[in-house]
Amino acid sequence: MNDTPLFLKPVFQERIWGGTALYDRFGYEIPSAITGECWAISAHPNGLSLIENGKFQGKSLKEVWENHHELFGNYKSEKFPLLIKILDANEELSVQVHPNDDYANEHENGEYGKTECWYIIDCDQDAELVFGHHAKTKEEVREMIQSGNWERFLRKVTIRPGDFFYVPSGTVHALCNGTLVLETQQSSDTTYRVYDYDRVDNQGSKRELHLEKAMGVINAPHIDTNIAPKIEKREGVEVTKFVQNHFFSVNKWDVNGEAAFQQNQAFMLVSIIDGEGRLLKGSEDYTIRKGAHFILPYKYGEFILKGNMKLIVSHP
Amino acid sequence: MKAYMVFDFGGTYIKYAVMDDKSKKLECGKIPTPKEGLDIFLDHITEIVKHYSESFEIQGIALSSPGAVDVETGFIGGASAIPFIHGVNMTSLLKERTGLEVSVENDANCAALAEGWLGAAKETDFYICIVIGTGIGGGIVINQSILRGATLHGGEFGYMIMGESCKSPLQSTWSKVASANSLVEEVEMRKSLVRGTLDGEEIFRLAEAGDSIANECIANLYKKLAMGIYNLKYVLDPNKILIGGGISKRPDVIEGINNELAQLKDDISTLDITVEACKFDNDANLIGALFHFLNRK
Repeated sequence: MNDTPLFLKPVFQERIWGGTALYDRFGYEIPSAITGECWAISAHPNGLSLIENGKFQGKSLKEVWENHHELFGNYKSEKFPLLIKILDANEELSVQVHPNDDYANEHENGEYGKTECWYIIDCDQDAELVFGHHAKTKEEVREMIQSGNWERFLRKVTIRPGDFFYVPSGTVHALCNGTLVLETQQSSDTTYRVYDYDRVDNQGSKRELHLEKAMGVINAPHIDTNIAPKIEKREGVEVTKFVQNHFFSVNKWDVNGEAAFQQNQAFMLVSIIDGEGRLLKGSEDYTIRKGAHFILPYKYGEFILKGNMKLIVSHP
Repeated sequence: MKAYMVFDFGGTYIKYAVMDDKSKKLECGKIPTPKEGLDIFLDHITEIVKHYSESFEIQGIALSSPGAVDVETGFIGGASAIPFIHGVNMTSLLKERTGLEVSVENDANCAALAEGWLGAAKETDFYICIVIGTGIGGGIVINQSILRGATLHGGEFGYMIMGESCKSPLQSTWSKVASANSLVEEVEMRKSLVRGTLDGEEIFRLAEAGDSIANECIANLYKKLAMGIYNLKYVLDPNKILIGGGISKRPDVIEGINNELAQLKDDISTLDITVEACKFDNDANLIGALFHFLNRK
C-alpha cells in the first residue's frame, strides 16, 4: 500500500555567504544570487518542503508526518528527526557550534540538538574547512576568542570532492568559500555563532554572535572523528557506508547500470546529487535526476534503480 | 639456578617471565598472541620454555589464562579473544610437550592472588579485588585462596544488577553501567560522537580541560561504583577492598570513589567503607600465576 515515494519540493534560503551554484549545478529556481541553502527534505517550521506528487501533493512534509505517521513506520519521535540540505558556500560561513540534545532541550525551547554530517559534492582546489580548534581547555577557548586570534584558534583541514565529515554537536566548524555540500543533520536550526569575519549585511549590520552559549557547548580540547567508510560492491552499484549511529545512517550509492535495493527501514531519505536514471517498482516508473529528493515510506520494500547516478541515502 | 616459567595469555600478547620463588623477574618478554590455532600456540610456548631451560633449572610452568579455568584438571572453559585455548586441557598438553609440572589459574584470580601475596592486601586474610576494564570482574580471596563457587563464577561482580528497570534488568548490570567501557559509551553518546572515537584516558583529559559532560559522566561513574562496592561490603564484609584495572592507576579515581562511599552512610548504614588501588599493574597476572603454582597442593 505504501507504494508511492514522496517527492519533495525544496525551500531556498538566502544567506550573505550564498551564491548561484544551486542554479548552476542543479537548475533550481533560486530566489537570488546569494542563495545559500536548499532545504531539500525538511519538516522544520523555518522551511517546510512540500510534497510534489500523489495524493499528498501540495501538503507539507510536516503535515504528512503528523497526520500519516504510519507512512513513517510510526517512528517514535514527535518531530520529523532529520533535515537534508544542500549548501552553497560561495563565501565563508560563520564559525559556529551547535548544542547537543540535552543543552538545546533546556536552552532552546525543546529544540533538538544539531549533530550533522557533510558530503562534499564539489569544492575549489585547495578548499578548506574549519574543523575544530587548537585550544587545550575551555579557559584557552575563552582567551583565544576574546583576543580574536583566529589564525591561532581555528583548525583548518583541506578538503576534496567526495570527502565526508561527521560533525558532532560541540564541534567548532565552518564551511569555507567554494564548497558545495550535502548536509544530513538532526532537524534543528540552532546555531551559536562564534565569529562572523566582522561582516556586515546590505543594511550595514553585523549578524549576532552567541559567545556565552557557544562556550557552554564547545568541546575543549577538540575531539576529532575518524570516519572509516565501508565500501560494498555488487552488480550495478557501489555502496559507501559513512556513518551509522542513533542519529542517522548515511550512505552513498553509486549506481552504474541496474541494481535492486530494499527499503526495510522505518523510512528512507534519498537525494540524487549527480546523474540521472529511473526508479522502478511494480508498475511505477519514475525518471529521476540530480537535484531530486524523495522519501521511501515504511514497507516500501524492494525497488530497482537504473542509470548512472550518485545518491546520498539516509535513515534515522 | 632454580626458577619458574610463567606465562600470561592475553588477546594481544603472551607475556612471559622467568621468575624465582619470590617472583623476582630474572628474564622476561612478550610475543604477539598467535592467531593460527592451538598447535602453533603450543609450539611457541614450548619453544620459549626450551630456550630458558638452557640457562635455568626450570621447576615448572605457571599459566594465567582468560576463561573459566578448572584449576584441578587444567581444563580451560568459557570464551575469550583466544578462542582455541578454550575447551582443551592446557596443563596436560604442555606437560606432554615439556615434561614439566604445569598449573593454570584464571587471570583475574591471578591478579587478586598477587595482591595478597606481595601487594596491597599483604597479610590480609579476607579481601576482594574489583577489576574495572571493558567490564567488571574480580576475585574474592579468603586465607590466600580464591572463593570459586559452585560454577566458578565466584567474584564475577560485574553481573550484579544495578538498575531499577524491571523490564530489562540485564541491560543494567554493573559491567554495563560502571565499567570503563560504559564511561566511554556514555560520553560518546552524550557528545554525539560515533562509537570508538574516545578512550578512557581521553575522557579524563577532557574532564581536566573543563568539559562538563566528561566531568558529569565521571562523577556518575564514581557513584555507580560506590553503590556496587557498598553492596559488596555489606554482603561479604571483607577486611579490604582493592580496585584494579587501568583506571585504578589514577589517584583521583580512588579518591572519587572514596568520596562517594563516604556519602553512603546514615543511622542504619554506619560502616566506613573505603577502597585502595591494587599495587601491581602489568605484572599482576604473572605474579599471581606463580603464587598459584607454588601453593597448588
